[in-house]
Amino acid sequence: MADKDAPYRIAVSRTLWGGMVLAGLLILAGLLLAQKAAGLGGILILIATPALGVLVAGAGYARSGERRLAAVCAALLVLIACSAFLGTL
Amino acid sequence: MFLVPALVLYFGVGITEAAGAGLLAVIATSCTAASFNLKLGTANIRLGLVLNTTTVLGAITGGVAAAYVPERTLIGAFGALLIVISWLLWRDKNDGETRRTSAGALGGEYHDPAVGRTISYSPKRLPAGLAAGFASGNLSGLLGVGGGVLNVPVMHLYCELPMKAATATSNFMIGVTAAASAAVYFGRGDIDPRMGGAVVLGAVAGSRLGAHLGARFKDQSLRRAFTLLTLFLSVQMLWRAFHGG
Repeated sequence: MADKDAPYRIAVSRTLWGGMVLAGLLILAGLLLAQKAAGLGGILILIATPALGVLVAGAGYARSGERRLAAVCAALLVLIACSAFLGTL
Repeated sequence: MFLVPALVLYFGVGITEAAGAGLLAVIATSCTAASFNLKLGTANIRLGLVLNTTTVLGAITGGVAAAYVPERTLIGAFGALLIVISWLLWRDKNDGETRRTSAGALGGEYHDPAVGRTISYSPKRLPAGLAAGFASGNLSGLLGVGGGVLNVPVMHLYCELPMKAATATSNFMIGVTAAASAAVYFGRGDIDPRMGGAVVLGAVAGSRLGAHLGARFKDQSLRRAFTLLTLFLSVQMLWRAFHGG
């Protein structure tokens, strides 16, 4: 089972790390340069990164025909979108 | 789990603002540690995604409810939770070694360098994991924690995951859970960009180091350290809830 999941694990791993690095650089720039917009941008990217990981996993499972797991990922993305909407109310 | 009490107890930050910063730190540590654990294979992505369905539901309800629950109630609830978790972990007699078994649909397999062999496991009692997921998500939304404080003991004690797989999978899950809660807090304006940014940068450095070091320790050692830290913070939070200040 671990071998079967290896491509998805690696893809999600890279997505999480890439999002983290980008968010971290923006947050650091925001703190060092006193730029609120950069800091807020970094925080938004940080919050979106786990969802991007789920998206990447879902796309991978959909391509390989693992429909149940793809549906789980889709459901998670809908729930996260609902939470973002609730925060604006 | 330790950041929110530290901000409240030692820096005088309000519980809601501390929870918001805590959620950002959770996302940062999750992304950092999970990117490492996913490569190693200790994080079970399938199980994590399935359990995340209930944790995210719980996180949304918790995040919305947090605006209406009194601060001392939240602090006291946090302290009480930590006491229970400490007790559950302390009485666990599982030495962390798992007999080799077929992995099953949601099972996993990884090489453990601390014991020098491949560990294979199949999760049991998935309904318990899902129920605990909802509760941990709720706690995440209410208290600004990742939920790992509940996920890890339940996955280890009831779903029978090895401790390393439980912590690694929980690390992966809590990022998604915290992101759902953080979106609610961010929209409400309960996240301070400067404080949040500072804790994020510190959390990233700490979690990367922790992920590397954790691979070298045996399950039992990790569990004991987790138990003692949890107990220490629970006492402080309960004291704060009852005596204020």
